[in-house]
Formats: sequence, C-alpha cells, structure tokens
Amino acid sequence: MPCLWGSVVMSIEVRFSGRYKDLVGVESFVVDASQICCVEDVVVEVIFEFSDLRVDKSRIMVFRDGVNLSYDEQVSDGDVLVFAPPLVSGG
Amino acid sequence: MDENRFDRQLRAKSWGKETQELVGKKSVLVVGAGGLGSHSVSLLVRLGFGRIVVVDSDVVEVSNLPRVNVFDSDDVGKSKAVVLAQKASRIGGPSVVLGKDLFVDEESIEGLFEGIDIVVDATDNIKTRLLLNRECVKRKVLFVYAGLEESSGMVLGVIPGLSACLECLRLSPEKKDAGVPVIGSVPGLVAGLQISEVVSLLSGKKPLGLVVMQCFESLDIEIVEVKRRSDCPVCGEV
Repeated sequence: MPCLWGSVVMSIEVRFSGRYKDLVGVESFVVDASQICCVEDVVVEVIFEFSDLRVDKSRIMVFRDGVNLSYDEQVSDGDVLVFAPPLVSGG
Repeated sequence: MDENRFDRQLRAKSWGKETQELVGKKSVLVVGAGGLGSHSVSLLVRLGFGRIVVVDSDVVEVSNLPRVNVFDSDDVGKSKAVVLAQKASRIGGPSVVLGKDLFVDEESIEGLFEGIDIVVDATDNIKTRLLLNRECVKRKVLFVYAGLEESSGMVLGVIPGLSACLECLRLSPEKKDAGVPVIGSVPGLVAGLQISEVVSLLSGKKPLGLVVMQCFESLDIEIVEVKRRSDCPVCGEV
C-alpha cells in the first residue's frame, strides 16, 4: 500500500537497543511529524536527528510488539518501535 | 561420568547431575571456527558435551589471533577447524571433537546434520547463517545464532516451528560481512551467552528472545522480544 502522508501529526516512540544506545546517547526518542506513514519514514526522521545511525540505514532491524517490520510497513500514532543493530560477524 | 572433572558444576543447583548427563548425550554442530566458534567449542568441551563437529574452510591468519581461543602463532596457515578440534580435544573429558575443513553451502550442508541435536551458528556471513537457519527449521533441529560487531553481540535461540527464526529478523546482507571490526574480548562474552542458550534449549526451555549485549562504552544486556512473522518464508508455514 502506498504511503499517504496526512496532515495529522503522528507520535512514534523509538527505543534503541545495544550499541545504538551508545551511538545516539539516549535510550528512546519520540518522532512527532506529519510526514510519517511507514517504517522507512520513521527511520529517515531518526537518522536526521542522529546522523551516527546513517551507516546502518536500510539495515536497522525494527520491531513492533516483537515482530520485525519491513520498511514499507505502515505505522500508527502511538506505536512503539524498537531499533536493533544487525550483527553478522563471527569474530 | 567423571565426577571429579565436573565437580564444580555438578554441585551447582542450576546444573547438577541431570544436566551433566543430558549434555553428555548431545551432538553439536558448530559452523565457524573464528572468534565465536573457537570459544564456543572450548566451552562445549569443558561443559562435557558428547560430540562436537566443527566446520570451517578458512585457515588461521595472524589477524585472527586477538579474538580466537586456543589458536597460537604456530597455527597460522593451518585449517581452523582441524586445529581447533585437535586443541579442544586436548582439554580432555568425554567429548569427541571432529574438525572438518569444509565450506558450507547448499550441497555440503546435506552431510552435516546426521545425529546433530543443535547447531551453533558462529559464521561470518549472512548467507551461510540463513542457510543454516533454513536447514534447521526444515529438519526441526535447534539453532542458536550469535553475531558480533565492535563491542556488541547478539544471540537468538530458535526452536523450529515454535519461536522466531533468523529469517524473521530480516537480517540484511548489504554490508560487507567479513572483516567487520570486533574487539578481542567480546567473542568470549558472546560465546558464553550463546552456549548458555544452547544448554537452555536442550533442557527444554523456551528461547530468551533476542539477547543484545553491549560493553566497553557502557555495559548493557537486554532481551528484545521477538515473535514469529506470519509471512516468514522459512518458518511461516512450519
């Protein structure tokens, strides 16, 4: 479903896990914006605020109620999203 | 059972004779003999697991030595899996450790699962991790993923058909996998968490969820709840 930005300001809480907490310096952040429709919009807003996350753009794992979301998944006002870093090295 | 060898853990209330006998009957496939795999194999032997098969197609490089367990400078150029199996066997005890110098792909994976109770994912790339995950879900074999980057680690235990699998996380393969920066002391910490989850799943417990660990800049371990995705191409139909 295509994103339809509305005039209603949505409030989405983003909680950071693992090294993202250190990268951004906070445990959570609230995105308040009208131009939010899907997960990707939230990611863009968060990266705009915390540029250190840019390195992981399109790789950040995003969960809502424990379910991993694709970037085109729609979000709703009041959603709480968890951002987790994808870790792939075996050392 | 060698009660003298395992005395300390036999007397631990959360372990005891029952768990010792359980792990002694289990076969573990460890894929990857780098920082994670070398620590994991060492831990599995020290805990008294019955049979451990370790697979890796790489040779030991000097740049591996800060992160790996049991390897030393004399091992540079030798097969990681073979050397790790030889050295882990020297720890002694009941464990049988087999090393296979083998690249895991769609073909070679077929011969690796015979008699295996659980798979420890210690690889260094998403493609192999997802292949292992898919095979474990298909064969209903327990699976424990772990990953590292810099001072961070992550562990996910998978019970096929019951809990979220690795594919449910939509791990992206876009970033270069091998050569990711990792601090030398982190693999041992994460391997400890990974093997704890191995014992936990074999004991019939549910997976913890996605365990996310961060150290050095801060010290933080949290568990992120992870549910199965109904549209997961691997476990969605299981």
